[in-house]
Amino acid sequence: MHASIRRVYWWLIAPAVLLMLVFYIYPLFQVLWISVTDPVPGFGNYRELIERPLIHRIWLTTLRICVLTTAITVVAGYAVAYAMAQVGERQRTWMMFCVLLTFWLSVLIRAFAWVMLLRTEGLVNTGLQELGLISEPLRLVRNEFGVVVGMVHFMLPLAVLPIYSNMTGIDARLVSAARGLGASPIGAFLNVYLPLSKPGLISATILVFVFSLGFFITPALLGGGKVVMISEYIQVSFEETLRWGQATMLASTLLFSVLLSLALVARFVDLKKVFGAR
Amino acid sequence: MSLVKTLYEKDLYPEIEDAGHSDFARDCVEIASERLARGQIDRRTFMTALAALGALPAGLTVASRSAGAAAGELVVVNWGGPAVDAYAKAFGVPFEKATGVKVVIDGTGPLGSKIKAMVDAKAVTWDVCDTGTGTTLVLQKQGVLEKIDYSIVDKAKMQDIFAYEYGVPNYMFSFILAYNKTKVPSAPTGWKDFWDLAKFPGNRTMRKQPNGMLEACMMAAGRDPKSVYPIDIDLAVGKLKEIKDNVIAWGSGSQSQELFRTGEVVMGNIWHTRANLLSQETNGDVTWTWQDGIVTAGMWNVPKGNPAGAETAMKFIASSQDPDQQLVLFNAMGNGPANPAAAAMVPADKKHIDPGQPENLAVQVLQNGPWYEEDSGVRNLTNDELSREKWLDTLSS
Amino acid sequence: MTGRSHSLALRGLSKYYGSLAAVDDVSLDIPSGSFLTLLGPSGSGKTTILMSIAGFVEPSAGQILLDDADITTLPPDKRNFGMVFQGYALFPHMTVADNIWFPLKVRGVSKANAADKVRGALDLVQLGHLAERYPAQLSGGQQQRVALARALVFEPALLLLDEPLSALDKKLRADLQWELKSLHHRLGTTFIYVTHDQEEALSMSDEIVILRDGKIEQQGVPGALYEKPATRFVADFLGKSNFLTGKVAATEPGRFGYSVGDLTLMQEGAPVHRRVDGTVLVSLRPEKIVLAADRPDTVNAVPGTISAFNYYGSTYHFQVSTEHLGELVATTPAWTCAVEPSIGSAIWLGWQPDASVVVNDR
Repeated sequence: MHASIRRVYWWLIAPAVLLMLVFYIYPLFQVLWISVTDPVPGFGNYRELIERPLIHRIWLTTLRICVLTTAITVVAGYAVAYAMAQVGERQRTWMMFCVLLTFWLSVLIRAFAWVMLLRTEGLVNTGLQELGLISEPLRLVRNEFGVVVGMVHFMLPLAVLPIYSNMTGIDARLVSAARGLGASPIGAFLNVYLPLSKPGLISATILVFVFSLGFFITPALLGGGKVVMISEYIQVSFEETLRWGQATMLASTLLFSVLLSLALVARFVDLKKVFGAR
Repeated sequence: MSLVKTLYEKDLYPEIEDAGHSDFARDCVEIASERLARGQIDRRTFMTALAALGALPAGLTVASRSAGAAAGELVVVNWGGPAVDAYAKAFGVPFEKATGVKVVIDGTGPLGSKIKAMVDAKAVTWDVCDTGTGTTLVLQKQGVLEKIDYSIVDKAKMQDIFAYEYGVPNYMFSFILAYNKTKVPSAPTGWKDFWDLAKFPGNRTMRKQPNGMLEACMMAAGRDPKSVYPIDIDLAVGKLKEIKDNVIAWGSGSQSQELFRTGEVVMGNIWHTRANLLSQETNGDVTWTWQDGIVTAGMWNVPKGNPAGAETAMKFIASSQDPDQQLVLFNAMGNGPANPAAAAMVPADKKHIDPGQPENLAVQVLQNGPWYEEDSGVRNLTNDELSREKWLDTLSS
Repeated sequence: MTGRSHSLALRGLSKYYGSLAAVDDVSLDIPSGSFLTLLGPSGSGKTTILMSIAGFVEPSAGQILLDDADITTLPPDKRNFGMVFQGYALFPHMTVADNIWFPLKVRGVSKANAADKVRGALDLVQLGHLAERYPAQLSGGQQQRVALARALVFEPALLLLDEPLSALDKKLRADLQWELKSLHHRLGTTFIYVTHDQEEALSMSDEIVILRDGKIEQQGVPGALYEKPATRFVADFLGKSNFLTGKVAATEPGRFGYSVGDLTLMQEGAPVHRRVDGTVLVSLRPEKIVLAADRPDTVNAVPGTISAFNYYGSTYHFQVSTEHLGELVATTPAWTCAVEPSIGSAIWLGWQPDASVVVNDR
């Protein structure tokens, strides 16, 4: 490209860059700045990351729930997307509608619905008891189990959509070719379909994991106040105890862990390709 | 990077703000909004109340959105909804009539973080804020509040213990022991029963924040209600640990109510306003005892460098101490009058929901806010900060 | 790399989609080691037959026999057939070498043990130097060769080819026709080839089966099909043809006359496929017409004028207007062209009675 033309392009995107700087980069630096200046200058807030058991616990809870949620969501989302890619147009439309339906429900209503299903006197427990499978009701909600159930439910469309869109790009004949060349149905899936759907799987994993990291309403509602994730603690520190140094430290750490996980993934896959920039 | 921006469910679902933690002041608005929506109260209630106070002055401004202060104007910030009208009529109209200073009610919600941000940025647009004891103490430590001028505000028109250095009680409410009659063998009589899982099996609910909970723990541990303070944080948190597996924590008032509705808990340490609602909707199946309740207060705060000047703000607060005015608010929103003199004026059929009635006060503990602000001796933290950490740590372990 | 050769037979094969018969009672014997082409326009059922043989389509009726063993219900991966798909269907996430290794891999052969065979297959299609490339980095012709190598590396009982050359340009297609044919010759494996391109069919096949609406229209060796098309459809689909309609006039032993208007033409053979009005349909190949400036020395001759012509280097194609027979197409080698190629010039067309053939008008 000619240098002068390139300069014109730079000028054309300059307003967007400026907006990013003013409304995004600058506040971000402010957050970083507060984390090393409030209440006193230094890395005291970051030392708490190492020293305070409460923060360890919250981080561990967050990671445990995020990993579990991501794993379950991606596997379930893959199954749903696979089914969607195989069925006819009519069923596909219905399945897509059902997947997206959960997107349109308020998070409060969804959480409440899960409580009604999973509570001690809820449908699941009474059903299992009437079937004689359990004698005592199981604790299915207001704990980590309930949180993971609710989060998987919330995240499912986020996993289904990228995986499904990736699957629509897979040439169905490749699976036939594999069968024709002697691969069993499972062999054809494992050797051909699965590797070809890898970009969808990876983007779904990143999307779900990163979204999960920032969750707190669903954990707060379904966790019975006992499952505290990092975002909730940031909110408490920011809005209730006004310990902004701690809040910004945690927010920065959260941001860094997102960037770190992206960097880790980028070592193995071409992220630009995964997110369709190339 | 754009991924990071959408990290929060909040961005996806703005309505979920209320699902998190909430202050009592905000909760009152939520309750009143629900009642208004269900037609249990209407705007005439205010008018009837106003008839007793005299005619409405012309030109009263009621702003439900954020307001910038103009000269000769006082901006009072509360939690919006019906509270905008209620505050305007209870406190705004009388003050304006008496002083000529126009009162603007701003319903955007005086979050502690917003007050701090305003003061830090030296761009204060609020004069008087409706917060709680917890927020008052946190803000006080941050040094962003004006000291209360008790030469203008009358200490006699409140419970002594709520006369904070940086906050004045606006109304009173209680943490009480609520229970579902149909799910307990007999009526629990205090926090010892609350802890008795053998006699009263089932889940309980307690607040996610220790404020109002630590006192119950102390009484359960055998401390006499008269000498709950100073609280032994480790002892209190240890009591929580005993029943933690049977505790579901509530963040907002509506959550505490929901836990009773879904039958997930048989008893709980919740706000009396929510217990009252539960009692109404269950025809008394869910009820509460004032016994060993913890009385606390809604607080007026004045941000440092408020536009109308500290003196005008203090005068407004003093004006709001009038028992008639507080009664208007009680009738409209259910907030118990902070001025003991108002207790006698509460209608007989509503005395049972007023924490400030002498017979109710007699069996309750007045919360000692200043204790929360004392140094805990650990990492420069106040008792409030340390107990929050330990409480959360125990709940989430 | 010569696989043991196998024969295949179809017995009353049918495939219905609803009430529509894609394949309608097709029986066919494919001798071991032959190169058989299923030729037909789209919708004729050729691909459905191939997919049934491969095991991807379950027949509605009939049997498929491999050396007399019934394989009708055997899943595709148990048939051990090599297959080259339309558009090649190479695995984009594998290198060329891994693509070729794939059929061996799923048969439990490790990469190390398969190395020689993979190399051999690559050499067979002259792509040894591209083993570590990915399919997207190859040209169409190279991809085609990889697909072939992959389909042959495990020494399949049959090689099925579904329009393998259709995506290639003309010159490459011609080159690969040579290669395929020589590959077939060297390997001796039975090839079953599907195409809609009559030139491909003619150039490579031992035997051609022409399909029409799910049924076999005619089958035979290429020369016989070309020279003796049984129907108008075959004559028209396989090569080009002029069609003459005339009333049978006089029958002699071994030949007969037929009249078109007041013109009488002679035709070898018997007046078969006679229609109710007593007419027959005669197919006359353009290249069998003799072009001359004056009346040629042939039994049949008609005058005409050139209405259009095309020059192809090696040949001329003429459109000639005649009084009795309408527009006729005639071709002649350019270097022996006996007429002046210019529009409007008067010429003669001539042919012998054995140059044309009576066909069934269907």
